[in-house]
Amino acid sequence: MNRKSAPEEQETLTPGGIAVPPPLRIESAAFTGSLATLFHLARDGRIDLTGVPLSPVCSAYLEYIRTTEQLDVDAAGAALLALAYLVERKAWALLPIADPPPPQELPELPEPTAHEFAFAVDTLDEWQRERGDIFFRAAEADGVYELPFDVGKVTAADLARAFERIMERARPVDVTPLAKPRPSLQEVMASVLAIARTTSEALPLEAFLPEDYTRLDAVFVFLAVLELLRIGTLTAELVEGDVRFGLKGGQR
Amino acid sequence: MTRTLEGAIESVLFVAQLPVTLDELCEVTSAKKSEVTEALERIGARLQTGSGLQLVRIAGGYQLCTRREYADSVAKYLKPQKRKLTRSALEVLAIVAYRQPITGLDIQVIRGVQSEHAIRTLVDRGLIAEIGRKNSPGRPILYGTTQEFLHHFKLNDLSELPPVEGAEGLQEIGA
Repeated sequence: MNRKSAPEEQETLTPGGIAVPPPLRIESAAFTGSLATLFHLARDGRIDLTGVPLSPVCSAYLEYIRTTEQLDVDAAGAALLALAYLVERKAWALLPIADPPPPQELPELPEPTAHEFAFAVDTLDEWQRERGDIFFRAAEADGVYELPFDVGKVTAADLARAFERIMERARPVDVTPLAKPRPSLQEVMASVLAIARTTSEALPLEAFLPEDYTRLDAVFVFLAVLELLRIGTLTAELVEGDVRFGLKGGQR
Repeated sequence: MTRTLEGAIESVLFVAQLPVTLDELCEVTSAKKSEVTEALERIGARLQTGSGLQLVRIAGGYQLCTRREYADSVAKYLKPQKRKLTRSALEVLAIVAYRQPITGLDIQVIRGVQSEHAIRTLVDRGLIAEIGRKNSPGRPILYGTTQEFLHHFKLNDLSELPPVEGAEGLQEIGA
């Protein structure tokens, strides 16, 4: 390694007021350049210091201290600081690197064991089917709910089935219901009555709805029919298992 | 008409909406257990010939119900809504039945999939219920089967469930 014992002419302070180390030149197989450059490269982790001998650099620094007649203390201090930094970094780099700890193995999730219950599930399924063929008192009987008004032999379950049927066909309510004026129950009752008056025959619940209707329409019509049943304007009867609604006394 | 123990028991069973236990029958008829048991056997034997009803032991008691042969006629009259349990719900139910008391987390460990929906369905149907809290962090709910479970599958008690291989050991999950 060659080095110049005397610093070249240079500014000793950066614009920020930080002292610049003297331009000690380093020439080695791993690095050729000034001490300041080596310092920057080492600081940024862009050079492997283990391949750069620092002893000649330190000797050059000492020679620079001894031979310079008008020593710039700031520049000498900056060089010393840079050297100390390089020595420390190299010392750390030379320390043996401990093996990284083995990755912690996550505990394995237990294997699902639901297959052990397959036979039980099959058996329960079969029992469920068999059990569906026997009936207990009141266990599955309809008419558990008492209607507050008389609709003859029609039960709450008959009405519920009719309601379920129209709900199955209903489409969801539009996403802008607020922009659409909602009909009052009284208006829907009037509409139901108007349809009921068109015929003397009893009509299914679907007959009181338009071809394309929403769930809200279905609910309103069902409530309107219930209210008309309650006040006795409409009557309900069972026709082939389905509940039909007509004007009381078949009047038009 | 002469009053008989058999007639009294049959009358009680006729009006009962839930299974009537042997103790209850003894209490209402003021008869001994052996006498009530014999009377029940006679009622059951008599109903086996020419009757649309049958006497069954279910959910720890006795109850009258219709015979399977007449299921179509009764169904036409009652119009029951089909509420069959799904396969996944049945699997959760089987796990609870065999492993109770069991937490929802343990059920998920056994199944390897989320089971919250199935558990909620079974709770809503009254087939399983909270029977306590596990003494562990968070005190999770412990589930067990109900009388409705026995009734739903026409079981008298849990010992009638079919044996399952490897039944032991799973209780340790989360212990």
